[in-house]
Amino acid sequence: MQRPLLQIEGLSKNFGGIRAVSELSLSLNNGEILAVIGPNGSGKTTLFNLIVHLYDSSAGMIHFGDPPVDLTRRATHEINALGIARTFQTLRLFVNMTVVENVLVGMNARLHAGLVKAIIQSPRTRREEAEAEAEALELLSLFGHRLISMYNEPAASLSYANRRRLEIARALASRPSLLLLDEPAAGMNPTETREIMADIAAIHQRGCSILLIEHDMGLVEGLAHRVIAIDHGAKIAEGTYQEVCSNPEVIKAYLGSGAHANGDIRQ
Amino acid sequence: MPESDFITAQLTPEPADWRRKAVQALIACGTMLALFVLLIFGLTIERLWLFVGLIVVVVAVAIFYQRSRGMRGKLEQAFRTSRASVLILLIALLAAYPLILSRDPYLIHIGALSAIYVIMALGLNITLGFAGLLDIGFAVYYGAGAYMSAQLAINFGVSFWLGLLLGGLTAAFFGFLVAWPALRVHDHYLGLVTLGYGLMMNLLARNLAFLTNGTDGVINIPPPAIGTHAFTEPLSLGPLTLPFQANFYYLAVTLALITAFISYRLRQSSLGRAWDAIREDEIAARCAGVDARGVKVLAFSTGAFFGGIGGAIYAHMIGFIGPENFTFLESITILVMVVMGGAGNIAGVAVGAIILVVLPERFREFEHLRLLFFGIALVLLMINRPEGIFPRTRTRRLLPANKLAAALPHAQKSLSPAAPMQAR
Repeated sequence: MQRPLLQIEGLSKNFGGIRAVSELSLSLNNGEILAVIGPNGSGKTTLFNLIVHLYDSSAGMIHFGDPPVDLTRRATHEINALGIARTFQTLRLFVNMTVVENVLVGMNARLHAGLVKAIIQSPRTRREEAEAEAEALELLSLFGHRLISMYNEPAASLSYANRRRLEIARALASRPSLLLLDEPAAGMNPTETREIMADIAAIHQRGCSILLIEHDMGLVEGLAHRVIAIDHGAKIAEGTYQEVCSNPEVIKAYLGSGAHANGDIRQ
Repeated sequence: MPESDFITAQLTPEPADWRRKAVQALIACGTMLALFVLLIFGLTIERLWLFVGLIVVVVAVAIFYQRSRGMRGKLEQAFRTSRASVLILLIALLAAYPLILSRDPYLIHIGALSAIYVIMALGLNITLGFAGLLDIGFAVYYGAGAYMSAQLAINFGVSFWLGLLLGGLTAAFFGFLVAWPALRVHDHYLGLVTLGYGLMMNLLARNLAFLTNGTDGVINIPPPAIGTHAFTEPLSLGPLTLPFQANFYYLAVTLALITAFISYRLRQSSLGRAWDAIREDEIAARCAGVDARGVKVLAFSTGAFFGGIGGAIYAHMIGFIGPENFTFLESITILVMVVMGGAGNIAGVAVGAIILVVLPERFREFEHLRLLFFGIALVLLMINRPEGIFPRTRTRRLLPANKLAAALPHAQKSLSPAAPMQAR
């Protein structure tokens, strides 16, 4: 059997006395879209922060790739270079930089920002830059005209939905094999949510595995191959969308008992 | 806007109107020339009240200029489109400065001093303006470069040129030294750490007599020389003989121009972009693959390097260096040059440095009131123009239309299917 792309075992994170993530294990196969659901404060974003090593984990291990690399021993920017890119639930764009520059920053791991290189600017460096710019524009064009028509404007001038799209474009700039999306549809209207769903599907088609945090259950149902539900930092259910959503514990902790009756979840 | 319209709009070249370009070049160069004449005038006016009147007029014009948006846009556009001619004129004016003032060695000396401070302020601009790292101990690097090159020249007979480089590298090392532990803290705390570092190093310079000669300082630092021409001899250019200060002036101005060029290159590079990114949002930058720690250490060391270069020239120009040359006040002065001129804006920082060298020299009679005026000016400026006289230009570089065209085959491909792709 093929080795999973991402394998997390017994991962824990304590903040003082609070256990944000508790002995969590999960694995994500190559080419898979895995969704993580759970109530607010259940440790979903903490999980992301642990994967990219913004937090030190208290226990457990995170293996990525083949041959596997232990991410708990790598710096955040190295993890990006290994092929993991993420977006943020609370948008973290470089708002005073232009749209295209935001994407170019995402290519930093490949461009190797060096002092001598910057001062000399050999033809090779210039060619690399030109190629990077072309690729950045191509990534912007993934979202139709929405981003590319604004490519030279500061990111601050983008609408909310376009900022979410730009976050995804910036994450894709490092050519990740695993994309971590933290609530990509948060704050979007139904039409925009449908569009972002299509965009994510297209990104998946490009050969990118995706780990997804989302509250919009329609999006989760439409995209995820598998779903994991967590509560208080621990996994409470795992399986297909149907399996997880009919799990009594998930209904109790997250979806609410009225969910079926209200028709929030079909079938 | 339909995609096709947008792309056509981007690809249509602007009409190559040479007449419009010539007018713009004329506007930009004329403005430059006017400012230069104003500077010379301000430097040479004998009566102080006339000088004060001049400042009042300049400030009034500046305020009017800031209020009038149309004028500002036009002038900025003119400078943007005629960069080459402005640059040539700038170099010509800088070269002409000692020729015009050849009878006044003191003003040539002030010019050289200004250039030295431009070098140092541009150095701090890399740390503070580009990477957004507050360094209130910048005088440390100034001192490191000055002591290193001075001691090398006195004790080992090392030539000024090698000493200059080694002084810069020593300063870079001192920058590296504080960066490594200090980068665990952020913002104001980083400022406090560097502040402490500056105070500590000044005290060490006062006490480590075997290295620095203590409070007596290092005296009789030999002047630089090119071949047999020592910098303390008058500079003869054909029929014209300039006072010896012109040697130092041309040296410092050349190095200042090189520093500005390097700053510009750094800003345009992927490294400059990484600095922008960590300044804006460090966490996001790290997640996007920026080695935050690495580029910060680089920013500290590079900035410090230019601080050391400035210090080394200063030491050999004055011939003396002591602990009182790089006190806390010196750090603050360089910091204010950057903040007042406009952190992140190369031309702005240079102007800030020149203003802060020239004004105190002009008001020498009121030296005891210097800090008072300094403080008032700074408070007024920070209230009215918190980003400095020349704020950082936000959209740093515009990708030209041909870049877009290069990416266009792909762009059009993905633009054409208007129908959203089906999920699964």
